[in-house]
Amino acid sequence: MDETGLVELVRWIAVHLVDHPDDVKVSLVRGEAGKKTPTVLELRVHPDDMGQVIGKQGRVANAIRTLLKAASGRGGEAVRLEILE
Amino acid sequence: MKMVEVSGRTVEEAVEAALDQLGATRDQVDVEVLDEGTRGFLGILGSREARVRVRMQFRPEEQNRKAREFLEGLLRRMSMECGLETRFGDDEILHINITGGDTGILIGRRGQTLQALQYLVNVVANRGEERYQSILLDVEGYRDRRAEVLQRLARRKARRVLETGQRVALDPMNPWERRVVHMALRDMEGVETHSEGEEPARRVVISPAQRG
Repeated sequence: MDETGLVELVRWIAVHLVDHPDDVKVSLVRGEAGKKTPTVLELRVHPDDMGQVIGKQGRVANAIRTLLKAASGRGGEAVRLEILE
Repeated sequence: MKMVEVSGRTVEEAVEAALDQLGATRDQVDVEVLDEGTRGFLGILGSREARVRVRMQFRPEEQNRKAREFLEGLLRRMSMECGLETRFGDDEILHINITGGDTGILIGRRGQTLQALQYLVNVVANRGEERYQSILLDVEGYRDRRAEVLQRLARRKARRVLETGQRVALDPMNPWERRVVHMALRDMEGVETHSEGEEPARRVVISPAQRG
């Protein structure tokens, strides 16, 4: 799946987890090929919703990461998920 | 679960009164007749009121709706063409089976993608709900097949414990898999099971039963 598809996937999951869906923002920060920096998906939510998207012991965030890995497909490039206020 | 016991001149009247109390319609309840009552002689002598127990049927409709909406959108965004089959089991668990799609990707290595999907669906469907409804997600009957494999493995390892008197630790498993193993050996004489370690490395240990 291409990276914009992954953005939409994370957005869909996040808006269903939070109390302030309008404040959910997902952006893609492409890695630089030469410098070996990975592509990062930045998920921003309302400060009060941080706990909802991270979950107890990070379980929600880890579940989202597992789905991202599945969706980026076989041989797909690794995408890192970062959650920010 | 909401339930009332109500008396009335007839069963029908008692049921009507119970529905009023529950604020429910006939198709939302189960009725148990405790006493059909008797009219008695001339409607007076020896008459006995009818008595019914009326219970709200529990249907996790709201959670079901939220779970399906969330899953459908999520699977579409994973480019999966899938169907969803829903069943509310006797175990009071809402079972959702995903049919079609790339089952290999949806299940993932050792079922971990399925487990992640299930975790998120439970969180999303129960958000803001008073009563927690547990949802068990499956992909094309994967869990049944996996359960059979685990049950066979559990019995084989348990026999070794009986033969050698030595405890055996199984590979790490997710909570659902561990439960399958515990249940498989619950009634087996001579062995005990418990879990050790921290997620995701938590594993079932089969050991000889302590006497007494």
